[in-house]
Order: sequence, then structure tokens, then C-alpha cells
Amino acid sequence: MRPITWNDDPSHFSPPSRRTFLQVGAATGLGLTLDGFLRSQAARGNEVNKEGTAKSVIHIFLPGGAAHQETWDPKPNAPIEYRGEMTHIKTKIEGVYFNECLKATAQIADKIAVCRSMTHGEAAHERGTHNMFTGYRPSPALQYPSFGSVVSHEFGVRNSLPPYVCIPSVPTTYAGSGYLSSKFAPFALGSDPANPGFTVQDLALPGGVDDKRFTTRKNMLSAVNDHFAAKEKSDNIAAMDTFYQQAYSLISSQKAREAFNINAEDAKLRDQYGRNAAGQRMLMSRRLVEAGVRFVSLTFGGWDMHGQIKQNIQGQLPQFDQAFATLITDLSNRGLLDSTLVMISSEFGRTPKINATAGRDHWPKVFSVVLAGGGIKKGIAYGTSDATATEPEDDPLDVDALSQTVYHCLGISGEKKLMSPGDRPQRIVDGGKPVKELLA
Amino acid sequence: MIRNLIAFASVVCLCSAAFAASPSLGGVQPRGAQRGTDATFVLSGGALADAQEIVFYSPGFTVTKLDVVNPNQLKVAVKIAADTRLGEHAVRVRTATGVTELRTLWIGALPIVDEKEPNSDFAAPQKIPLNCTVHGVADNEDVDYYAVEAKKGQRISVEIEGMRLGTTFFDPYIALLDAKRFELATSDDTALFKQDGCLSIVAPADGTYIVMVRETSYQGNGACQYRLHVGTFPRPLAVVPAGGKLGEEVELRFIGDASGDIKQKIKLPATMPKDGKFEVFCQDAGGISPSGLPFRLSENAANVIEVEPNDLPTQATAGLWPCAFNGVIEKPGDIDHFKFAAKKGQVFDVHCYARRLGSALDSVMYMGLIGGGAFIGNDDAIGPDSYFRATIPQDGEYWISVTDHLKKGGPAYSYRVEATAVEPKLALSAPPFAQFSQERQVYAVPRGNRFATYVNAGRIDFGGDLNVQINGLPAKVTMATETMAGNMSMVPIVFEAAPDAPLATGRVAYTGSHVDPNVKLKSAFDVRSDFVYSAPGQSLYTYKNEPETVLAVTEAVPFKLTIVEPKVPLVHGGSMNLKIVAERTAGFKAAITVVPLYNPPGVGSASSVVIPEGQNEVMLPLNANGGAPVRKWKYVVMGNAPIASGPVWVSSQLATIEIAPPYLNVTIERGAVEQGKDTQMFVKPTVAKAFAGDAVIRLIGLPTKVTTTELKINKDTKEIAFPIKVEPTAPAGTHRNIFCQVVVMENGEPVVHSVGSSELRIDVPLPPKKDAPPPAKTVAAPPPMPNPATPPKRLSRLEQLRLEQEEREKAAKAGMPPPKVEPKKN
Repeated sequence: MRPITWNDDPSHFSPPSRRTFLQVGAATGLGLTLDGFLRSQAARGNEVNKEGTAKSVIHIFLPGGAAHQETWDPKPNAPIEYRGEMTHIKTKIEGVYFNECLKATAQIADKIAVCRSMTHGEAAHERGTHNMFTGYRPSPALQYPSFGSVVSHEFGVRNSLPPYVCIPSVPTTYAGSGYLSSKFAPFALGSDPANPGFTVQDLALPGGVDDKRFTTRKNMLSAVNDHFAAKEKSDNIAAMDTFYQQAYSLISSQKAREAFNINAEDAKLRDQYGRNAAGQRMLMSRRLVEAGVRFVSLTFGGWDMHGQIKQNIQGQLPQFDQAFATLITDLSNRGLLDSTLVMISSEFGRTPKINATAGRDHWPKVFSVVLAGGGIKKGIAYGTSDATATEPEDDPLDVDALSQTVYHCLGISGEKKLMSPGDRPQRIVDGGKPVKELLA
Repeated sequence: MIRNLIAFASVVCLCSAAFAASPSLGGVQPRGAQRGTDATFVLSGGALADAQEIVFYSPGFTVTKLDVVNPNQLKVAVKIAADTRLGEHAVRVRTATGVTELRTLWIGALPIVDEKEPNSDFAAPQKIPLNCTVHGVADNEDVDYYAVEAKKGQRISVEIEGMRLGTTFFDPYIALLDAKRFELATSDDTALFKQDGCLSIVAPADGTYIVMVRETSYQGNGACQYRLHVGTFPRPLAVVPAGGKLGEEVELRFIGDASGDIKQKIKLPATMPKDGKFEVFCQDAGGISPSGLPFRLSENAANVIEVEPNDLPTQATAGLWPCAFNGVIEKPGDIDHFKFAAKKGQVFDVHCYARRLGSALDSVMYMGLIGGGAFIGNDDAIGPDSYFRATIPQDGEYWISVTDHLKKGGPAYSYRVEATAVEPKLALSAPPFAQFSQERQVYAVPRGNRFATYVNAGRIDFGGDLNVQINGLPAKVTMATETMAGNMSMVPIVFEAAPDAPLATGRVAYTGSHVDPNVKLKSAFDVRSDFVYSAPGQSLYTYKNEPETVLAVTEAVPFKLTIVEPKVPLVHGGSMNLKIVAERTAGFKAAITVVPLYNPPGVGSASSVVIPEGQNEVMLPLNANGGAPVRKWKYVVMGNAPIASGPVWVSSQLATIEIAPPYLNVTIERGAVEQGKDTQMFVKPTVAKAFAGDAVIRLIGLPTKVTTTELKINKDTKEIAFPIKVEPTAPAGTHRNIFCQVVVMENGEPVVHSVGSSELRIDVPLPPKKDAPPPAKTVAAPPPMPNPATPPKRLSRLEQLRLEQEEREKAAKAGMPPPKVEPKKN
């Protein structure tokens, strides 16, 4: 098993080799303290990133643990208690079938990569969610940053827009900035774009405050802040300052504000996406990446289907299907698909056998994720699960490999180290390599 | 946080409750009444418009008027007899088409006073007479104050029914204060009533006393109703002895009341109640306790009451077995000893009944030979109560000791130790069909139709097959079942009502007997109706056990279900489509959802199938795994469809399905082929049960762009070859999970087998070498065979390697470079 925390890594308890000793000794000889040594190591890793094929990411997270059998990996030849009661349909990937509700997605399957051998070992919601948002197993010692926060840290603001946005709200604490500064935390819309009266809070100046008055206020605030910052040193003060700066640039840029205005979207296209949570959230995510947001994380539905899975899937999957297929087509039509990585994930899959309440329970041993665009190969099925969707059969895809692949597309090296509290450098991804077969 | 958890839990709940019950009963208002009065209750629920009967489980209730206010509400006038037992009573509603869930109402001895807000100011409490029962609500951040007048020396007792009402999660807190706002007594939780409290004091002076009621953490809501008894009644916390022999008159010492111990003689019932449960109520000049104390009834055990000092084995209170030892851990650190003579080899189940009887004691119990140390002991075998099974090692006198786990003690720390001979016991129960509900724990059998259920059995100290019988069926209702196999803990049951069965209610209870008449069982039936679930983890807070359930004959419904009994078995690894036929009355077209009642071990099925609107049949897919026991089972499906009054359930008959070993097995040779080429996959059948005629055999699980045809085999087929066509674009790699489906026809029905397992490797062809010699033609094609199912045979990989080796050897002998052997592909 790969090391999880400092304490879990046996190498930390083995005596240093002669070579290691000499290297550290040499560093000390140069007059560096350990603190400085670690900092310089971290700094060495912090070379400027070059954007990769994916300029933006849309992460669609299906909270609760979506059943792989009832979405991307049906098993029509398995016994009835394994295959369930739903049927399957052909897709544009030869030999690959999806659940009957994914009709529209089946037609754009030649634009996506379906990974049906995703695997990890965490069967509890919060732990699985941690895995799939941060790329790390949860640790009691450290809070890891989410993909979006790492992207925010590595690339920063583009077009005056927050680099990392959550739709409609921050779905879990694991979608936060972890050990990184709070300034890399996501900006949450705070309301659902599917609501008729949807507006994003705090994007405009409050009523009765004009630009002049706003500038006066800003100056007064910065006078107070400067005084405060001179007396206190805290990440939160710096982060707060960053928030203000980002907020000022957001408020002062009409173009940036417009990105959040879903009503500006063509009504016909809104209908195509579906006038529901799935459709409008995905449409909003497209607007945001088009305007320059680097990482959009959205959630849709509740997929923890312990009972009556057929009825529950029938209630949610068609909306998702319509929205996702439209998103891919829309991105493709706008020429954005090759620069936008779309990832569909969930905290885990669900048990191979249907349970007594006609549902399925938690199952992390094998499940499916979908990647599309942004440098991902099109129209492929990567990895397979076995005959009853119980275990990965070929090309198991673990969390490290998935994270490495996503970061690779973004132009971020998973090997790179970020500094965590205690001046301890942490790799962005703790092992694994990008999956070549998934890369275009 | 807790509220969030509750919200989450209710979401889970909704997901699992797929089918609504019809009719339903949500609650009874008011939550109780005074005995000896005429009361009016409003019963709320759903689909109650055709209500016909209010079914009370206990005597004392006479319904004088039943009005349907609207389909969701009934108004019921009830005459409550003066001798009605105090406390909780169960009620259901029978309509023309169903029976509701079980709900409760509470009977008290005192007149009812309703709470009148505002009463939340200590300075302005609601004045109530001493000796009344207040019906009130503890709202959010609400505190209710009630003022009573009492004379010096008068006992003031307070008891609340809050959580026990089973309405919602409500943890009440009560306090008794004097006029200067000093607390005289408080009670939050008690061992006796769990979340509900009780207290009693002796009034120190003439004056006004204030009773305060609130939710423990001020988090009440409009559903947090309570019945608050305030009076001069005795409120003891324990009784010694806490049990007695049937038919005996026992002198009881009630302890824990503020006025001191109260002695009272009680005549015990001559026969054991159906559920074996009994309560004693303390009564004196001040009144009667609103709630009783749980009390054990024994068939033959005489009471032995502890005599202090008995802290040492040498001081043990002696008894002559069969007997039951009773006592109180009166003060902290107290330890009580009893002794009795026993013979070598005797085996006793020794129970300490303490928390099970509402005692504060967390018992620890040991047993040993007089003069020796303990040879057995236990702390918490049954909740906090102790239990062990003791085998007597030698003839002699044995001591049993009881103490508190934390060395606590007090008047409420009573206990009763029963040492009984081991006897086989059977616990039968009727579980709900959906989590967190009472779904289908009652049986509504439409006239001329059927209703299925199952009974669970817990076997204690025996094993083997069981027969289940039922008592209390209404006229013209029959029950069909089968013997419960020794390895099963449930058996399906189908009730059938004749078309002319009278619309009536039967209080039914199951009994079980061993198929071996020499095995005598103590059989008990219990139905637990659940009321309140809450955090953490959907814990069950309130419920009611009854030793019987209700079977009602209801109006005929417009559909009937039948399983078309299969004429062939379901084989291991195979599958079957079970045909379900609906018989509809003219004009009834609604879709019918069909669900299997259960699946025998090793058998899987679809969770549900639907007979579409206007249609009359559906196939229910079944399959059996390799471990399914080979035998016949009784199988039954239930059907749910909406009729005018709401959804109703009926069932099919008990149909026989047989599980059998497969008629044949196959070995499938692994295949390897290059893209764009053809090959064969060889299958060797091994027939275990000869079958007539041809069976169709198909290769299932081939990858995309790879095709074959279906073939036929018979019982004598030794080998067949599936011709495999592989397109140039077929995906390269090893494709596993390829198996054969073999369909044997028998009695005109298919016996579907899934047998064998193999894989096909598809390789990308190597680019041709520029200077490679032309492939040598070394192998002559075998002569063509007449049977198309066994076409010319491709060489296996091993044969190819052998051939290549032979060629190399030949070439070496001839002093020539070895020719390359191209494997023959067909």
C-alpha cells in the first residue's frame, strides 16, 4: 500500500542512508537551516506552470455514489440480481452500452472517454468524497486541497473571474482549499441557476452606492487593513485581502459579471440543456469556463439509492443525460471542448447485487468516471469491470492515476510539491502517473 | 446537527417506502382519556372513508359512534369502562378494503384538563386541581407552569407521558418547585419510563406548588404532546418481589415513593397472559399510580426474598429450587447473595431481571459453589441485565451474587433472579415489509382473493423443520403454507378468503411445532409495531409489542394473480421466466406491480415487474446460483394496484418451483485470433441428465465486431465448434466472461443453463517481414465432416507448438533452417 501520511510511510522510520546524510549535510554546509532547506525545496517545485491542453475543467459530481451498473457500465449478461431491472442501449462507442436513460449521451459517446475500472477503498460517503475531490485518501493529520483549489493556486485569476467556482454551493468541505491558503477556496454561486429568480449575490454594488462612494469606502477599508496587517500576521488576513481584491475586480468588470448572468443565454439553448437543476447548472458552468473560470465544480441530484434504484434512476438520470449531452455538444460547437476537460465522478459505485429494498449499497471497489475534452481521447472505453461489475478486470484506474491525468491535461505536474503547514512539502498527487491511453 | 441527521434519515426513509399502505392511521387525538367516561377521539390518516370498525386490542372500549369527517379523518365516540387497565392501549381501523397501522391511546384514572397558554411565566402559572391529567404541548423554547395547592404532609406525585405517547421524538423534563421557585424534585429520564420522568414529594408546608414541563433541551415543537399526571397518587419506582407464581396472592412492597414503602397484596392471574407480560399498579388512599411496574409471572417458581445481611456467600438467603430470588441493592456497594442446592449435570438458564423491569440496577451476577469461588458470571448479556447458562459441576449448595456494575445502590435498584431449566423455545414474529414502517404487518384478505406474508422464526435451543399453525382466523378464511426447512428462518404463508366470507376481523396468532412430535417447544408470537425513529442512526425509541395481529376480510378487489407453475426446474447457474397472470374484472385496467414475497436461498429475481395497464401477464425473471439447495420451494408473488380507495395488495397462490443441478456442463476452449481472421471456439458438453431432442447452444459475451452462430447439441454430442468471425476492427485484447447459454426443452418449456467460462484473445496482426520466406504449407486440412456443427478443426495452441517442434526437428535432421509453421486458421 502506498504511504498515506508521514506516519504511515515506513521510509520515515528507516535510518537515513549515507547518501541522504551527505546530501542534507551538504545543504547545511551552504548555510541553510532545515526550514530554509524545505522552503527552497518547495520553491524549486514552484516553477511557473504552462497551461496544458485543458484550459478549464468542468467537474460534475454526482453526490451519494452513483451506481455504475445503472449509468455507464450495465451488465446485460449478468444474472438478474446483478444486472438489475433496467435495460441498456448502444452507444457511439462500438461495443459499449449505457443505461437506457442515457439516450442522448449515447449519441455523443464518440466525444467522451468512459473509464469503467475506477477503484478505491473508501465506502463511507465523506471518505469517498474526499478521495474524489482531492485525489488523496483522507488523513487525520492534514486537510488536502481540492482539485479546484490546486488549480486556483497554480494558475490564479483569469479575466477578473474567480478561478474556482462551485455551482450552486460548496458541496463538501473537501471541495475547499485544504492546507492551502483560504484564498484558493471556491467561490460559490449561493443559489441554483435553475431557480427562476436566480442571481449571484454580491456581484453588483449595493443600491445607493455609486462608484465614487465605493472608492471612498475601499480606501477607508484598506487604511484599516494596512494597519491591521502591519500588526498581525495571519493567512486569513492575507486571504481576506485577496478576496477583496478579487471581488473589486469582479464588481468592476462588466464582462466578468456577465458570465454569471444565465438569463443572457439564448432561451432555446436553455431549453436544450433542460430547465432543471442539471441543465441550468451545466449551462452555467459552460458560461463560466467560456468567460475564463478555470475550474467549475457542480453537483446534481442525490445518488445514494439504497432503495428502489430503478425508480430513482428514472427520476434523475434523464435530466442528467439531456444536460450532459447538450453540454458536450455545446462545448464542441463553440470550439471549447478541446480546451475544456469535463469530468463526471461520484464518491463510489454501488453494490453488485440488488439489495432487499430493490436498491444498491456503497461499493468503491469498482465504479465509473467519465472524462471528455481538454486533451482526453475521444470515443473510448478505458478499463473494464468484471462480469458482475464487482471488481476491475482490466486496467484498474486508481485515484492517483485519475488525478495525475487531470492535472497533466491542465499542465500541472502531479509531482510538484506544495507547502503545507509546518513547512512540510506535499506532492500535488501522491504517486501514480497520467494514463497515456486516455490522452489524445 | 441532530436535526440534520433526522432530515437525512427521513430522506432515506422515503426512498425505501415505495408502496403506500392503504388505509393508514397517523394518530389519535386527544392522546388519551379518563376511564369510566365517554370520550371522543379523532383518528387521522388516509383512505379512511370506508371505515367499518375500530379494533381495540384490549377490553374496556365500546365504540358508540363512528363518523367519517372526511377520507382522512374519523370521529369516534367511545365508552371507556371504569375497570379499563391504565396505561397504553393499541388501536387500528378496519375499512372495507384494508386495515391500518397500529397506534396507541392512553387511559388514566384522573380527569383531563387541557393546557391553556399562556402558562410560560412562573409568576402566572395555569392553575390546575390536584389529581388531574393535563393534556399539553411543549413547543420550541416553551416552558409550561402549572400550579397546585397542597397541604403540609400531603403527597404530590407527578408523572409525564411524553416519548411514550409514540407521536414524535420528545424528551420531556419535569420539575416540582415551591412558590419561591426552589426545586423540590426534578426528573428528566428514569430507568422505569426511559425518556419520561416521574417524581413524588411530601409537601413540606401548606401552599402552592408549581409543576414545570419543558423539552429537555427546549427543542420541542407542536407535535411534542404530553399527558401530565399531577396528584396525590403513589409513585413508587420499584417493587419487591418483582414477580410471582401464577394464581398466587403475593404481598408486594412498593419502594421509592416519597411517603415511604407501601405494602399491598395482589392476586396474580391464574393463567399466563398471551404475551407473558404483566404489570402491578400501586394503590393507596391517595390514588393509583398512572403507570404500572413490570412484573414477572412464573409457572412454578416460588418467591425467595432477600434477607439482609447477605453480603457474603456464607450469609446467603436460601431457596429451594425451583424458585426466584428477589431483592434490592439498597445502598452503594451492596452485594446480595442467595443459595440453593443443585445436582451435578443440571443446566440452568440464570437471568437477572433488572433493567428489563425498569430497575435502575446495572446488574453483575456471579455463581459459585458454597465455600468456593465463582465459576461463572456475567455483566451485560441482555442489555444491562446479566444472564448465563450454568452447568452444575458437582452436587452441592451454590451461591448467586448480584451487585451493581458501578457499585451504586438505592431504592430503585430492585432485581429478580430466575434460574430455570433449559427448554427449547420458538419465537415467531411478523416483520414489516419495509424499513421504518409497519407495512403489511396486518393482513387484509379481499373476498375471493389471497394475501401472502411470511413468518420469521427464531429457534432457541433446538434445530430442525417446523410446522406453523395459526389461531383466530375469521370464518371462511384458510391458510396455506409449507414446512419451514431447518435451514430457513422464515416460511411463506398465503391466506385465502372465500367469495362469501363475511367482512370481519380476526385476531390471529401463530404457533409453531417441531415436525418431530417428541420435541416440545415453548412457542410465542410477537408483532412489534414501530412508532418513533430518530437519531442517532434511526434508533427506535417507541414501539408496541402485541402477541397477535389482525386479519381482516375486506371487499373484493378487481384483480387476482396466479403463478403459472413451471413444468421444468430452475437449474444452478440457470434462469427462468416465471409467468404471472392477472385475472381482471371487466373494466379494471390499471397497471399491477408484482413483487416476489421472498426468494429461496441461492435464488435471485427482479425486485419487481409490472403488468402493464390493460394487459394480463408478465414474466418475472428468476435465476439460481450454484449454491442453491436442490429441492422444491413454495413461491409466491404479491401484486399492488390502485383501486378507488387506494392501493391494495393481493397475492398469487403458493406455487412450486424446483431447484435442480444443471443437466449439462461445458468446457469452452480458450480462443486466440488475429483481427480480421476467423477462428473456432471448441465446446465439450458433459451431460449429467440425459435430455430428449436437441438443445440450442449459444456463445454469450463475445466482444463487439466478433460474431458467431447458435448451434444445436443433443445428449450424445461430444464436441462442437463455434465458427468465430472477427472483423478487422474488433478490439484487440483478452475478452473474458464468455460463456454458453444452453436451452434444453422439456415439457414444452425451456430449461435455460448458463454454463462454462472462457476467453478470447484478439491480437493485432504483426506487420509482414520484408525478407520473410513465404509460409510453408505443411498441414493438410482435415477431411470435411458431414455435421455442420463440427466443422474442420483448427489446431489448438498446444498442437501448433508440437507441430512446430516436429518441423524444427525434421529440419535439423535434414540440415536445413526450420521452416515457419503458419497455424491453420479456419
